[in-house]
Amino acid sequence: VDPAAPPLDVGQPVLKASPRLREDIPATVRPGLPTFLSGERASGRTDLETVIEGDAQLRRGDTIIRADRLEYHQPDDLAKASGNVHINRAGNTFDGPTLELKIDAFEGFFLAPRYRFLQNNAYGEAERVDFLDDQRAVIKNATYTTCQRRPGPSWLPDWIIRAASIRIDNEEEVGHASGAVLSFFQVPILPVPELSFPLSDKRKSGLLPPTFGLDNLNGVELTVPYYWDIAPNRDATFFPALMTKRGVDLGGEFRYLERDYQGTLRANYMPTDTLRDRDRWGYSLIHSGTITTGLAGLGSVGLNLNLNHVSDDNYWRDFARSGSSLTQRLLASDGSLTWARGNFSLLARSLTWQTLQDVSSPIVPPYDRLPQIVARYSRTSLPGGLDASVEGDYTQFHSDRTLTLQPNAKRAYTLAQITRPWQAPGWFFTPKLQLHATSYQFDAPLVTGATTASRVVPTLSLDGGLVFERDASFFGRAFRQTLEPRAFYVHTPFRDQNQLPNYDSAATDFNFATIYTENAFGGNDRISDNNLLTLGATTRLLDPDTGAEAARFGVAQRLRFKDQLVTLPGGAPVSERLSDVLFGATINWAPQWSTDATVQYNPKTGRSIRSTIGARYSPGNYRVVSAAYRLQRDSSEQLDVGWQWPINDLWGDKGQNLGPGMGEGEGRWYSVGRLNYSLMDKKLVDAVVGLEYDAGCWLGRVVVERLQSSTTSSNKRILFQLEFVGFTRLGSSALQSLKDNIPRYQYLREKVTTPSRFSNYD
Amino acid sequence: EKADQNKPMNVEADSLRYDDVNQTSVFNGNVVITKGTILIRGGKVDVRQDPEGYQYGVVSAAPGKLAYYKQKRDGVDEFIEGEADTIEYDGKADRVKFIKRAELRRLRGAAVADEMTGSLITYDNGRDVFTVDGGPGSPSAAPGLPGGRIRAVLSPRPSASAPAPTPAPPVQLRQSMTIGGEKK
Amino acid sequence: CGFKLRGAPDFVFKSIAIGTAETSTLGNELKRSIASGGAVAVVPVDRAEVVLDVTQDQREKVVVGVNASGQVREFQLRIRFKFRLRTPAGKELIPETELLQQRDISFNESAVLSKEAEENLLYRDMQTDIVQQLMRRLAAVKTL
Repeated sequence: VDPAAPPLDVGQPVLKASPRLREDIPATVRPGLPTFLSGERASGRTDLETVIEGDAQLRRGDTIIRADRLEYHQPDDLAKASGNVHINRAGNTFDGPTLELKIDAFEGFFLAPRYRFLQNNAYGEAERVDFLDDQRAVIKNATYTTCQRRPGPSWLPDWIIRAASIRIDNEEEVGHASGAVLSFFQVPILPVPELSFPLSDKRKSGLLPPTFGLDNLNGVELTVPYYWDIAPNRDATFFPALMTKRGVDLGGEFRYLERDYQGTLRANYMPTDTLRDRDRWGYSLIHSGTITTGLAGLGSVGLNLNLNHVSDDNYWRDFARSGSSLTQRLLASDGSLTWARGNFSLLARSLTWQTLQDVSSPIVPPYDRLPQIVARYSRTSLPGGLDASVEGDYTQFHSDRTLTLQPNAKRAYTLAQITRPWQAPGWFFTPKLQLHATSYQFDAPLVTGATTASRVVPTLSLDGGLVFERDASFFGRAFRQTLEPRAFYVHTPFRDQNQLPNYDSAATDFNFATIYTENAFGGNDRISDNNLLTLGATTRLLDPDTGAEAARFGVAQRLRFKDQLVTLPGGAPVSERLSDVLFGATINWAPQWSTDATVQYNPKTGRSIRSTIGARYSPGNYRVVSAAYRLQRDSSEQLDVGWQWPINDLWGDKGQNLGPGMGEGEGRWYSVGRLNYSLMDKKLVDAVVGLEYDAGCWLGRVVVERLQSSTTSSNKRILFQLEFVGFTRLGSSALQSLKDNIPRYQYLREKVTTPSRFSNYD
Repeated sequence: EKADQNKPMNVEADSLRYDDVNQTSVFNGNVVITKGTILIRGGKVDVRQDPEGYQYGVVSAAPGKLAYYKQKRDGVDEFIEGEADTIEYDGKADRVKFIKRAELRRLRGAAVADEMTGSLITYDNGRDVFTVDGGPGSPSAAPGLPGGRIRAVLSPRPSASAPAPTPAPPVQLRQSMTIGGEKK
Repeated sequence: CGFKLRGAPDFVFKSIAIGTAETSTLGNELKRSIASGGAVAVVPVDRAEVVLDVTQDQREKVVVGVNASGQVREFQLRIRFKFRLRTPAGKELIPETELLQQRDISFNESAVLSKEAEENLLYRDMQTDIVQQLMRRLAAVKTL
């Protein structure tokens, strides 16, 4: 404990590593370190050599050498040791009969050593080790495995690498084996003349764990990804996949990170896919960066690209989960230039969509914005505490008129806004005045014959709330409870716009964020006429010591003083005086439990339009069960279940807690899964169920996947994968979708920080 | 230094007794002996001279203290300094023995360069050779050192040059755990 | 029933350094709300009494509902904010804590343009929530 620190207060004394306990010895300090020798007898000439006999020990910095006899020549810093020699250098240990080593330069050789690396507890034995320097060593005719020895004479490691030579480079954290054979349960499965493997999870070129699968669409599928570490700020991953029923798909991902721009390019190309008898390809580029124009007045301009395109409409079915666009049937190609100076900002953007149509479920394609120019000027804390902002937008909407049944148009709108926010700890009040002016120019006359239209809509909104607090206790726990009533009044006069075409407006969900906003529609083509008052209240239970929110309940309702006449094309005016009641609850009572629900309930119809209820139970590592029900009336009703649970728990074997990312010990089975059920389609839409086996030094994984590709057909697939801990790079698994979709899913071997050298201290 | 051998030896002590039988002179109480660059301090010192004129001394420590010996090394600005329960100085062989709780230090200017502890240390000034013996079963020579063990601390030679400072590492790409690419 | 208007939070420190990136909207909103409180000043690291280290300040968007014909019906938006509060000397005041906010948003391919605006509204709402929780966490620190 750091003596300078003030005495610890009463309670369990906490031992913390003092910052002076250095993990790595800086190269500048190393030559100045003294050498400590001890043994039963010593003799020698000062400054020349020292000979120590009888359990001799030499210790300097992070290196210790123990042997029966030890000669140390000070002029050339050479240590000669003989008789059960043991070296521990920063946690890596070598044992053997004889050694000659220049300690600081760590140059020398070691005969018939047995070694063990701190990094991933890999060990082995060899004929000879040549130490090149303190970071590199070459091991001749060596073995390497991470399967720890278990008692009993007949024990053999599950997998082992025998190599003519292994070159260990701790700086690059890479091992390079030549003339190597990997045998798994004594069966040589991977004879590889030249092979490099990671000593840690640091980026490094090399093979990734191969994925093998059976699929009703692709037949037998083998993917052997290769990771190429081009430079510290550039890397590429190739995942060529052989599909027996269809052909070979060449996929790849290239990532780059420069000083003022970065990006990722993913692409795949499949010559003559026999499934559809044509070439298939798809690419997606995400790029963001700044361009320094060098012009004094202009300064730097931001550039963001998100381009996605594929070869045909069936791409999403035949290449499931491979694109990087979240909406697999709607691919955006979005390029934008942004420029800002002080309170003024400018955006120029072009956005086009590729919609993968399907005759059985057509999609009305959204509008392209070719181009969109947005200028924004905002000022805060003007005299009198006013905040003001003006936003101008000019957009040319373009789409396929036969599908949208509307003319394309050029639209320009300006939105001016003035607010006077009063903010105090106990209350807030924000009156806001908005003026929304829009003008259209259609490229074909409307039903009324007009080719232009314009609309000016003012809006007044008053938003106010109070914050009360008190100490309270529920179920025996003390809380700081808050009560936050809020009122939101908005008045927007009616402006006739129902027969105007709609380009970028749609109804927003009904939740606690949208209930306190002025416009019932998103986008700028519909400004709903309002004369309504929203009243709501939220109460939070806060932990008095940490301020953490243990639970939150909210309720809100709208009182409408006048019907809302503005509708989307084909919509009906809203006439209820009392809107649906909105209930919300988020409970994180204990770290294991968390539930989250927003339910909108209409007392008249007794039905709900928008409800989301979710719960998650995760008592510890590798144990999580989560379920969610999401309803959007007349659009979707989804049930989503995800879990990861050790099967050994069933028969009481709880496993050891080795910390996150280390699994729970050997011989454990884990069941993993995610089911997404669409109640409207009465179908299991997306199902992934997997079984993972953790054998300590290797992981086996079997995954069954069923992906609905249309209302009538689905892809079914089985995937196998082997991961050798400490040999193949970790974490890259075919279960990428599980990591996304099961909250808190944990890989059995996560990126682990290097253990401290003091954990293996002699 | 080698030249100390034929330097006069002078002694200060509380009392002097001449022991005719062993032909030794016994000094008692805060004895301080200087001979050239050699300095010896102890509670009781027996000094004997052989017919050829070489002197031999046995220094035993005062109760609760250690006998002390210091001598400059030949041709180098360094000193050898040692302490033990008893110190035997052999003028002829120019050798000093430190017996029980022995500690030998080499001082380079003011700083301690090397340091040895053991139960028996012999230092041959002529050939500049030292031997340290743990002496199995003997009490521990120093705190924290198991019985029968010796310990030596050697500091590096001052000529070790500091390596060039390492260049700043270039900007690093953080490895994402997925090859499927983050769904952002 | 014991409710009183909330008073100004009393912070045990007078100056704080915020470790968020310049472009982080959450960081800017946090700085504004601290500055508007008046009791604490946002200062660079070398002059700060306490330092807020931000290890993760990330917006996530995940598909959680797809219908049978591959159309996305539900997204979940999340903001993950991991922070630690320490004194410049390194004494830990608040251990590494993750604040996670999530909102579900329905989706329809045809209405993608409007959903884009609604998404920003939800992200801002989550961001204000996290900033409020952060302010309470900072106010809950008792000793330096």
